[in-house]
Amino acid sequence: MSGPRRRVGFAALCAGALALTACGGDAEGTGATAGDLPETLVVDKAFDLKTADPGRQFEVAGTIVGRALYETLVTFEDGDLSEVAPALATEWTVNDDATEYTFTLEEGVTFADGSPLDSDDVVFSINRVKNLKGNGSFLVEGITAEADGPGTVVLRSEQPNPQLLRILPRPSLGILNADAVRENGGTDAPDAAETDTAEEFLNSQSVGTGPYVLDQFSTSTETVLAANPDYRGEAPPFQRIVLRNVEGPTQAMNVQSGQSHIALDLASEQLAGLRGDPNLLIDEVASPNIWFTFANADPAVSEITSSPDFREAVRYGIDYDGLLEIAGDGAVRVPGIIPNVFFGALDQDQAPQRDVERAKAAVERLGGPVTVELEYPSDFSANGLSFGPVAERLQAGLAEVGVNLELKPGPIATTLETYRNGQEQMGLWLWAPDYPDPADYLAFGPGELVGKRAGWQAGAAPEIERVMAEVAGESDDERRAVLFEEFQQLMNEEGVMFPVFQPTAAVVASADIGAVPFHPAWTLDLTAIGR
Amino acid sequence: MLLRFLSRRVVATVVLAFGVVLASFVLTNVVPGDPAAANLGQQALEDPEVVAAWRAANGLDQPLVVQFGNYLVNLVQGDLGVSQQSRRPVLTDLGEFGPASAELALVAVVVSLVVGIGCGTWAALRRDRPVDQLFRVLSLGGVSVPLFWLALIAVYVFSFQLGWFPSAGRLDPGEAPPPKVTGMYTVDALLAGDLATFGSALEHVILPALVLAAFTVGLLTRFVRSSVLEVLGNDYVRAAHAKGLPLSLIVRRHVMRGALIPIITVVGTAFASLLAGTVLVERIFSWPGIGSYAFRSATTLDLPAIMGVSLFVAFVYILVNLVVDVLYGFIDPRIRTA
Amino acid sequence: MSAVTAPAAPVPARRLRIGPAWRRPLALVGVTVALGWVVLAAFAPWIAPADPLAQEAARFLPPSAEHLMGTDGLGRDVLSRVVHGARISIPLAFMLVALSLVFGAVVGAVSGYVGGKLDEVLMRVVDLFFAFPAIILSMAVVAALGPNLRNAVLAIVVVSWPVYARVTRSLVLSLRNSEFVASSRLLGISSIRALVREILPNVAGPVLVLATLELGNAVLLLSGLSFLGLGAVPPTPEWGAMVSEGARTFGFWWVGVFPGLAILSIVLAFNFLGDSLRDALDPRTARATRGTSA
Repeated sequence: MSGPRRRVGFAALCAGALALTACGGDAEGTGATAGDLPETLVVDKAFDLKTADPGRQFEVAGTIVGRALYETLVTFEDGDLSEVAPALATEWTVNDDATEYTFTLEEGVTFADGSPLDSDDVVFSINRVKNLKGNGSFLVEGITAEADGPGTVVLRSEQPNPQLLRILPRPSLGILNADAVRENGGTDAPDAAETDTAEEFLNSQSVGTGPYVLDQFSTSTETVLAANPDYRGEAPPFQRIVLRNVEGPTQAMNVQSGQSHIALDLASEQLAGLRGDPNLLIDEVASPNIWFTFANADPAVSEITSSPDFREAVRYGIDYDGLLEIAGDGAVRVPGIIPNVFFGALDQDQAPQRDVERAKAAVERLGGPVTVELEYPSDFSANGLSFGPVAERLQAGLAEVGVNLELKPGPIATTLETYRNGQEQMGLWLWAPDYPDPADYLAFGPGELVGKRAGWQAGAAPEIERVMAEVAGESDDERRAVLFEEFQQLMNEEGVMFPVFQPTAAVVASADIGAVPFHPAWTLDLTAIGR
Repeated sequence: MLLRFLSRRVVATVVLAFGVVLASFVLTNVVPGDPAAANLGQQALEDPEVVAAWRAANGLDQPLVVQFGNYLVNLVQGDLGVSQQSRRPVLTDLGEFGPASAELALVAVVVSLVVGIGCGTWAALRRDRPVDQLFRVLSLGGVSVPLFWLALIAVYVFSFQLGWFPSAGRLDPGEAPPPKVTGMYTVDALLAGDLATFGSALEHVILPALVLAAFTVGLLTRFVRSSVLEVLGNDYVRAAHAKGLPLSLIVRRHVMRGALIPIITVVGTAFASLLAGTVLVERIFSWPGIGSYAFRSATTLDLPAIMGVSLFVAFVYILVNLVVDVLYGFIDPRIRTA
Repeated sequence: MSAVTAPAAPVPARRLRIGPAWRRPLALVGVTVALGWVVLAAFAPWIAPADPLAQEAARFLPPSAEHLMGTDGLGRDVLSRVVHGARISIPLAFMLVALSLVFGAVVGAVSGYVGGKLDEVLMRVVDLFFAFPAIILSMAVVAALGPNLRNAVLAIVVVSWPVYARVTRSLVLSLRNSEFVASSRLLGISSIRALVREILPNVAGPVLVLATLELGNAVLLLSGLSFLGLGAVPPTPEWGAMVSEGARTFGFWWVGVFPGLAILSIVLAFNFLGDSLRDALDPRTARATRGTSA
């Protein structure tokens, strides 16, 4: 299926009736002559945008915007999550038990308004995130930031925090111009949650050191960034970047017909229609998001799902290959709970394989076929993949071994609530990494965040918990990798979580701006496009 | 007497507004979900302090009665609260999304009026001839077609395959909206004398408006046809015809006037139905209107936004009815005294 | 407040009379298509070439001899799903209309016949329902009770009964004071009996026409809610939900186009029928308030 490259019809029709400029104008923004970058970059994204205030944002679109407006102390270069690179901090030292980090700031950095950056700005920004008690506060929980002269910042943690360097690149922890924020109602005081009123200001303009500045902000239509002319690095390649709120299927059409340059939320079936279009460059990788289902371990929620035999039936009854088909061509099984982009992930051959006989035997031990409810959010999708088809395929596969699922979709506001309260018999959810360190996945253990939601309380699996405790106190990455693998192997034997896949994550870009890679931490790195 | 009429109207409106606010408040609180869940991240939800801070910031830590009381007090002062989703005053949101939908609905109504009156009259004058039968099938088709399906087909054919129209948004990407007067981009662009923006806004509004008009065109064509037929059967029209007056003159002078009242009634109801249709059509065309806003608010349990949208729609409904009643009075003075 | 009241004309005592169907080609088409769907619904398991839930074929096969309408994103036969979809939409549409009709007509008849304060209060409630955005109301009801077909039906009943209430009331009002009702009063017939024996039969015709037209609307509303993910629960082969899947998988047009055509054809059939019925009655009588659309 190939569509036209540009829409012309109506423009041509009305050109006669109106001044010639009336309709000709629309081509300037998106069109481009070969070899030249367009002046305006148009990016289509299904918005989950809520705010442009780094201290409050946590969503994908917010991360994309934040990354372009604000810089962090350290960063990841070229999508490589294995190593942390300098950004506002030129160098840093870490003490042996990973409780004290000392950063030396780059000299001569100025904010977009010309005022210089110093350690006060960094301390303010990090403390503010912590004290706002917002979505991103957990990132720096237990961390205190202090200045040691204008050019040095020290971050201290009570507990060993070996993952901190990998947390700091998250755009939520972008560095703001402290004076400007304070003047507009911002504060980093312990009571910032009640007293900070700077969000409105930060939605009207940005106060960062990044290559772009905020021009126009909307959570529903389009958010526009403009080049920061005083950016200290290489001049930004686009004068403007327009991030539009567009649903996945329309994105596919827009990028194919030249109405946009980048589409971000395409499902595998939409990608299939775009492959082979010479004007498009598609980057398709396995998303770092993992999709998983769980069986509630709390007998009060379900006698059936809390039985180890049921877990066995599900673990070996899931049609993993059939699900991969739904997840797209670039999708992969996730062998343990940790996705393949992080160290400590298991090898593919360590994944549980479907074993229909074994699953049926387990169902026999349960006393024959069983029926349980599977809840999932019906109005939510990630990487263009929505939950419905995945649930349907899961249902079809499990039905073959005698586990019948009654699907219970619901708006995310209601399903998330039963999930959070640990009331779902079975749930189908996804986990997007908060920061690129396997420590984030300890949340799936007994008594932890996701574990509790599956009715899996502390003390339910002492062996697993022992490994979790050990890895939490360990600061050596090699040793940590070994422990994380052990953690997952145990989870695969007796856990209540069934990791299913990492779906395809794709970035489709029009050829005139060059290939745009999917960024495993931020989805899209606007600052890397056109360079 | 006019005063009494007006005061009764105002009282009824206030009662209705109160009912709408109460109903949406109760409905939203009956829903067994938590707006915090829709707004906070997975990790944040686990921290009771963060959840408490969020609830306090949105006034949800108060008892329900107090929340409702506060809302009413603020409402009287013209404050509709702050949306949890957009983090903006609901009034600002409505000021942006309302006109967007109004623009869509107005274009649809204008199209419907022109096409509906034209086709309806023509069909009536050619009663039971092929043209009449054709229009009958077409107009019934218009009221029968699922709008969400028609919208998809329209996007696929006219936007994607033929490339005649853009498929999303109100303006081209990055194009600045015209200075705000009405909030309807086509009107504002014309007021500002900015033909380029007008062209772009028109180009964007036409396809969704045409889809939306399918239902109302069908409705109007049927109504106009039967109204005109009724008037044509009246004695004075027959007399005029017998006197040898040309048909076109009769239609203009007598028939249209007589058929106007039912037409106005239908336009009134059609306007209300357009608002319902926008939820589906706006989603497909990424049109940032009141329908998309309503959908997003309802599924995320964004209480201030839900109440704001409900009030807004009720207000439009009341206004449309008022206009319809006033128009009745103009066209047929007997109704005013009735 | 006088809302958009239908100019329902006070023409009593004219009962339903329909001419021969062959004089009305549209009615004939309507009846044929509607009956055709009813037959498909009744015998779906024997007519459909495959199990509508079986994910057996490859995904997204275009229409071919083997799969006349192709396959969907889970490898299911679209034709079989469309055929089985009739078993959901058609009975539910009848149920929907019956429920809202009974409820609305009772409220309207009581309101119109009793009059006074009760009438005032009931009509304000009806006003409230008219003024309240239907889609928000149904979305809230569905969100409160959980999205599934039963709750979607309930939500649509909640938003659609006021139409019947208003029409019935205005018809009852126009009849209440008419001569023949007055005369039956003189004869000593009690008011309940008058309502049941004299007024209701006269109201029945126009309300029936309205109901037939509303059948189509019911299908549209139901599929609209399912399209938004607030109706049918997967893997139910509901038409609106299928169009929604087609919307997600844009390039594979057959996934959404055929279920949409199914909706169009059945709604069109109901509307052909209703329109012809209306013509069969006095054309003035049934000009009821119709304003809800999906």
